[in-house]
Amino acid sequence: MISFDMPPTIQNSSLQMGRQSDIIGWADLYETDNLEDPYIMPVFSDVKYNTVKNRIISFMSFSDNWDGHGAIKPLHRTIYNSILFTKLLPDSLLEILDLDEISPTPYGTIVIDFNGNGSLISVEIGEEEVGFFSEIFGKEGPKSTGEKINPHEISQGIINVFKEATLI
Amino acid sequence: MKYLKALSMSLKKLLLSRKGELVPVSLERDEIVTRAILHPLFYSDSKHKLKREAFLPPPGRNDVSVLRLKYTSADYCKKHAKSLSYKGQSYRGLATLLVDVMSKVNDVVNSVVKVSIVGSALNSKGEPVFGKRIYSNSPGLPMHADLLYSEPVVVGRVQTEHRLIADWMAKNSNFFLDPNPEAAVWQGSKLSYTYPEGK
Repeated sequence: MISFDMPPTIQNSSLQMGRQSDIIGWADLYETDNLEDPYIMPVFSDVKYNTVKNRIISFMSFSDNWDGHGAIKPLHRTIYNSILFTKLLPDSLLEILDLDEISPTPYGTIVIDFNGNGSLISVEIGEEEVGFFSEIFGKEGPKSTGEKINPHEISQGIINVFKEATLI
Repeated sequence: MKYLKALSMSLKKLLLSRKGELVPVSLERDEIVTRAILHPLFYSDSKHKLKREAFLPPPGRNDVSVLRLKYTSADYCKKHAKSLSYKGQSYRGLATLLVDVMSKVNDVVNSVVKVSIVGSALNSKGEPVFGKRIYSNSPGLPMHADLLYSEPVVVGRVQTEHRLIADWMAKNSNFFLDPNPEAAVWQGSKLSYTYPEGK
């Protein structure tokens, strides 16, 4: 079983899970039908993380057509990836995260906005990819149209933009 | 003869008044369009701001529905907003956007995806009406228009370029909170458009 009982740490300029051995083989397990959902796995005792996770899980209760125009509820895998992403966040970013800034899109992805120091980093998590756009101190910042999700660490591009906004 | 001419003119006027105003497909720059805003996903109560998700299309599509205020009323915009079947969301108010402002989005936002707006009248079955003159009193939604993205959004796929556009539209829209969502008629401030500060 995959255990998520340690908070993420920053190592060598990248964000990594505290216990890498726990997630070895994650990608293989992901494809199996008997993989336990991340939202019923043991979690570390961080109140904010649990609150964030619960917010993401709450999207499961959505119905399709929630906007009256054909929106779909967030996809199962998107929810899984979003929880994994927040699991990899350092405490400093979790702390500034406003629950109201975690939103589903009409097409099944989840968006997490980080606001602080006059900057915005808007991360979008999909079934396979994570992307973002940013405003750094009120000006257009870097963006990414999507890169493959790495279950072990947050991508360097996202870390760099957080650093540019002095959020980490 | 004079009597017949006058009668004919009166009948024409009566007919026109029943049909209402001719609704052109293209929108004028001074037109205001409205968008129904739902809570909690399109509007943040804590921050009193619109969310960009209000301006994103459904999966596999590139259109976002709006109504042209010039050819309808605030009461009808509200009635239509309340008629849609929302699951787990509730109607909260109406957003307005000026076509003139919207026409600048492609120049201002650094995105490979572009957006346009076009009149797209719907008949009483909700189907698009093509090749017919549309009047403001035609059955269905003659005042319906679409914000059209140049590319559809794909289910489960990251859509940064679309979100940049939607973010700009949310920031440049005006939001009118409905003080009495349960009422059948609009009781909020007069729907209008004010340029955001500093723009």
